Amino acid sequence: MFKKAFLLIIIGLMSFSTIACQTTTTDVTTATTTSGSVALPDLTGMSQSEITTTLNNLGLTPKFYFDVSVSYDSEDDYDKFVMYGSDLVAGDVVASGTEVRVYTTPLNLTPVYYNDLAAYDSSLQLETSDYTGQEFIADGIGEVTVERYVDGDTTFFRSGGQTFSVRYLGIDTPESTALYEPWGKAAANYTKERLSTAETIVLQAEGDRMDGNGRYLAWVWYIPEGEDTFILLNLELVELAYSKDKVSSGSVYSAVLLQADWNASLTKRRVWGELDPNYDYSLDGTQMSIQYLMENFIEYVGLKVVITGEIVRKLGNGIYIQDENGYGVYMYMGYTTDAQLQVGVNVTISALVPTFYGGSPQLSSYYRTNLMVNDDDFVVVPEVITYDDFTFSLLGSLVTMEDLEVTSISYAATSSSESIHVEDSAGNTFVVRIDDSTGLSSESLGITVGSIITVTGPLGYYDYDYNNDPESYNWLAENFQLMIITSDDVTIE
Amino acid sequence: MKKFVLLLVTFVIALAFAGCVNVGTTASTTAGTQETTTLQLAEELPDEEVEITFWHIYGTDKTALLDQMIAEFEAMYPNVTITDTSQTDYNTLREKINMGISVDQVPTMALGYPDHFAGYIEADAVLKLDDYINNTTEYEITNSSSSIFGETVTIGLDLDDFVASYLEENSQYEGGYYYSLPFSKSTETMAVNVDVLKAHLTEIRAAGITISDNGFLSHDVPLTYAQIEALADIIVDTNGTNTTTSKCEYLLNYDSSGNMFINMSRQWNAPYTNTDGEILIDNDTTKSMLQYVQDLFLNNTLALPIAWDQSYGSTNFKYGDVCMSVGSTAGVNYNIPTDADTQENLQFGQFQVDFVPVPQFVATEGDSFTVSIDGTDSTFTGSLSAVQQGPNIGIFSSASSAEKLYAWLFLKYLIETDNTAKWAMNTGYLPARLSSYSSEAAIDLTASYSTNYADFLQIAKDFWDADGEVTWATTDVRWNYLYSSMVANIAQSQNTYYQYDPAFAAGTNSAGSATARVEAGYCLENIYIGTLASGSSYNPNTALNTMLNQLTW
Repeated sequence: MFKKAFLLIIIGLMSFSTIACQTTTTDVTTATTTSGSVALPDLTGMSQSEITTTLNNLGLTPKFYFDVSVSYDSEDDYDKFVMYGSDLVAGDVVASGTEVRVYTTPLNLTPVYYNDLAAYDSSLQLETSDYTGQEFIADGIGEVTVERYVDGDTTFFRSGGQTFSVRYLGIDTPESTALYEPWGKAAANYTKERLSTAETIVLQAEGDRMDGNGRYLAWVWYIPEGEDTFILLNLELVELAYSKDKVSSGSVYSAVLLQADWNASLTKRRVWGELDPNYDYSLDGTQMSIQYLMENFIEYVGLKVVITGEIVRKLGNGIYIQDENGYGVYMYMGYTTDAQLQVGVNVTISALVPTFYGGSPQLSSYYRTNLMVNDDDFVVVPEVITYDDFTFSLLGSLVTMEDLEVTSISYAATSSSESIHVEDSAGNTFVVRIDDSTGLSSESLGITVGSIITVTGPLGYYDYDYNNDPESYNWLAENFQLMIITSDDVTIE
Repeated sequence: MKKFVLLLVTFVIALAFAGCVNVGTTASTTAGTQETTTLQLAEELPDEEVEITFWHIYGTDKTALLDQMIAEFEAMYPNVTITDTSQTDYNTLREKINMGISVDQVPTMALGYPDHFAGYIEADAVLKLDDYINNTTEYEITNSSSSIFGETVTIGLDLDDFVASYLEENSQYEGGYYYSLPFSKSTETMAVNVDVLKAHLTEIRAAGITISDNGFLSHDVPLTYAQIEALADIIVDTNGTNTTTSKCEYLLNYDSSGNMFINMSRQWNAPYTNTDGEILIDNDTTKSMLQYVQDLFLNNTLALPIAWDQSYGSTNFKYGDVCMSVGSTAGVNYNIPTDADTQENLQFGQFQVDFVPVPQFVATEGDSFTVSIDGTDSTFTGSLSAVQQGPNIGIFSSASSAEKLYAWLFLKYLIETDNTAKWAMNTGYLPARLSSYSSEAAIDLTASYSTNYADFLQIAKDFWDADGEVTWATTDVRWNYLYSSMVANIAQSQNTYYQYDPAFAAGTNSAGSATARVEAGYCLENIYIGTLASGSSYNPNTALNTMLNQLTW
C-alpha cells in the first residue's frame, strides 16, 4: 500500500514535470491523448468576442493575430475568423488549457470621441460662442469656406477675403498628391466628403500659426449636414484610422488624440496595417515607354511604373526625361539628390508613381536604389511646335517654339520666378516661365517687353485652381507653359 | 528501499521545479551581470508560428531598408513573421508603450531612448537581455525551407565588438544589466562653410588655426573655443551677412540647446545630473559656463535656431546667415545647398560644405583652460566630450518564450556587422559595432553600386586628401555619399570621448532625465532671448534658477 502510494506520487510528479517542460518551451501544445484534451471547434463567421467565449467554454484561451495579407471590400468582412494558427484546423485535438493561436480579419472601428467629445471633456467641445465675431487669420478662430481640396490633411479655405492653405494640426494622413502612399487617396476622399456636405466649418489655431511651407495650422471643426454639434475632423480622421496621432504633447487635444490613436491601432485598420485595395504594392511597377505613359497617364495615377529615357534638363529638385520618340515627362525628386542624374545620362528608373501637381503630370517617389544608369545614348532633337500642338501627351517634352513676342513680364510674390507673357504670330497668348531655381531672369537674358524670342524648353502646365480630380478636369491651352532652364534655351531676334 | 525511494522523489521534485531536462543552455556569469543567468532554452528552435511586433518611428525613407532586413530574417526563420509599425515620433512611441503596459498590450520589441527604457524597467515591463547575451546555446537550422538551412545559429553576443560608450549607455540601469542594445546611433558634428573660410586663409593661419589652401580645417583635431572666438573675430559681421567681405552674421549655430548645455557641462566638468536622478546644476562652474555662453551670444559667436524662429539652424547655414553649425549626424544632408533650394536665398551660392569635430575647450582630457568672463580670466579643468545619441532596441517581458527568443535573434540580426554598416550608410546613422568599420563585405547601396564600410569611409578621406579637388566625374556615385562619409569619419574620430546622458525616471523630489534635457535647452534659450532683449545686464542665473525650479520640488 505504501509503495503504491509512493509510486503514484512519483508518477504524478513526473507528469507535472513533463507539462512544465512543454509549457515553457512552446506556446501551443498539440493533440494529446490525455483525458484533458479537446477538439478545436469550427469558428467560421465568428467575431473575436464570440471566439473568446467559444474557446473559453472549452477550457481554451485564444491568442489573436490579424490576417492583413488580403484587402477587404465590405464592412461585414471585419472582425471575422480566418483560421487557426500553428497549422491547426477545426477538429484537431489539443490539451485543455492550451493558448490557441487564432487569426481574424482586422476589427471594426468603433469611434467614441469625435462624435461625442463633450462627454469626454466638455471644455474641448467647440461652441458657436467660441468663434462668433472672430476671423481665423486675424483672431486665430473663425468660420471659413472651402476653396479647394488637396489631400487628407491639407485644404484651401477662404476667410476675410483671403484664400489660404491650411495644414491640419495633430495629424498626418498618407500622401496622395506629389507622393502616393497607402490610404492616402482614401483619406483625401474622406476629408472632401465630410467638408463638402458640412453646414458650417470653423478653423481654430493653436501654437504656431504657420508651418515651414507657409501653410496655416489649424484644428478643423465642422457641423455635418442636418446636425447641430461641431465635430473635430482631425480627431475623426485618427479615430477612423486615416491618420496616426501626430499632436505635440502641449496641445489641449493631446490626451484624447492619443487615446483615439491607441484604440484605432488595436483594430489594425487602414494606416495601422490593413492593405489598401487601391494602392500598388508591387516593388517595381509596370514597364512602359514614356510615350505610352503620357498617352495613358490618368490610368496609371497612383500606380508604379518603370520608364527609360535620356535626361534632357534639370530644374530645381526635378529632371525631365525624354524617350526616343520625343515624349518627355517631369520627375519630381523631393529632397533627394543624386549626382548620377545629370543632363545627357540615359536612365531606367523603377517604382515611380504618376501624380499631378497643379494639373501638371509628374512622376514621384524617386529613390536612389531604383536607378539604373544605361550605356545607351541617343540625341534628343526638340520638336518645333505651335500653340495648336498643345496637348496633354506633350507635357514634359522638350520642344521649340519660335517667334514669340513678349507682351509683359510679371514676377511671383514670394520668389524671383518670372512669368513672361508672350503672343505667337496667330495671336495666341501663353506664358514662358523662368523658375527661381534656374538663377536666370529676363533681365540677365536680355528679354524685354517687345522682344521676339525663340525658346527651347520642356512644356509645363500650371493651374492654381486644379481640382485634384483628373477624371473631370479639362486641360486648357492657356495654362500651358514653356520653361526656360538654361541661357542657351533662348534666342532673341 | 526507503532511501532509494526518497532519492527518487527528491530527484523528481527537483526535475519538476527545474522545468525541462532537454536544455542546451549553459549558465554563465560575465562582467556587467552580477548574477548567474537563469534562462532555459529548448534544445531545438521552436518551430511554431511566431509573430514579432516591432514598433519604431521610421518613415518610408528608412523603412524600405528595414523591410528588406525583415524579409531576409523571415527567410532565415520561415515560421516567424515580423510586423513593424511606425509610431511616427518618439513621444508617441513612449506614450503608447506606457499606455500598453497598463493593459498588457505592448509590442514584442521597440525602439527607444534610455529614459524610455528606464521607465519601462520601473514598470517591470522590459526584458533583461543579459540572459541571452551570455547564453552559449547553439542551434542547427533543420528547416529545409530556411535560407540558412544546415547552418548553426548562436544565441550569445560578443559585446567586445561594440562601441564601449554605447554599451555603457545600454547597461546604465540598476544592477548594470542590459535592457536594450544600440541600433541607430548618432552624434553631433560641425558643418563648416568652406568658401567663407577660404576667403580668410591668411587671417585664420595668423590666429594659429590649421587650414588647407582650399579652406578645410583639421578633421582629427577639434577646434577649441578659444579658436572659435578667434574665428568669430575674423568672420562675423554683426551688421549682417556680407558676401563681398565673405562674412556671416553669426559664426556658430548649435541646433540642440539641450545638447549644448549638457555637453558643455561635461567639457567644463560642471555637475549636471547623475543616474540617481539628482539635479546638480546649482553650482559655480555651471554659473560661470552660462556667463561665458552669454558673452558668446552677445557678440554673435554663438547662436541658437530661435535666432531665425527655427527648430534647426541648417537652413540658415545654407542661406549663409551663419558659417558653422553643430547638429546631428543623422541630419547631415539638410546642411548642403543644392539645386532644390531657392537659389536667391543662398547668399553664398552652392558653397562647399565640410564637417569637422564639435569644438572642445581642451586638446587633452584633464587639461586646464582659461576663459574671460566679464573681463576676468578664470581657469577650469576641461574634459573632452561629444554627445552620443540615437535610439536603442529592447524586448518586452510579456512576450512568450518563443517570441522573446526570435525577437532576440531579430535584434541580433539587425545589429550584425554588415547590417549595422548597411543601415549606417543608407541612413546617416553610425554603426553600433566596431567590426563594421573594417568589414570587407560589399553591400549593395543601389542597383549599380556596392561598397564596404571601409571604402565608404575612404570617400571622404580621398576628398580631403585632394583638398577638395578630386577628379570624379559629375555623375560619380561617390558624390551621393560624400557628406555621409565625412560625418562618419568625424564620428569615428570622436568615439573615444562620447558621453551619454544618464537616464532616470522622475522621482518624488525631481523630474526625470528627459525633462531635465528639455529644461536645459530652455535655460539656454532663455539666456539667448534675455540677452537679446537686455544685453549684458541680463543675468543668466535667472534662467538657471528657473530651470532648477522646474526640475526640483
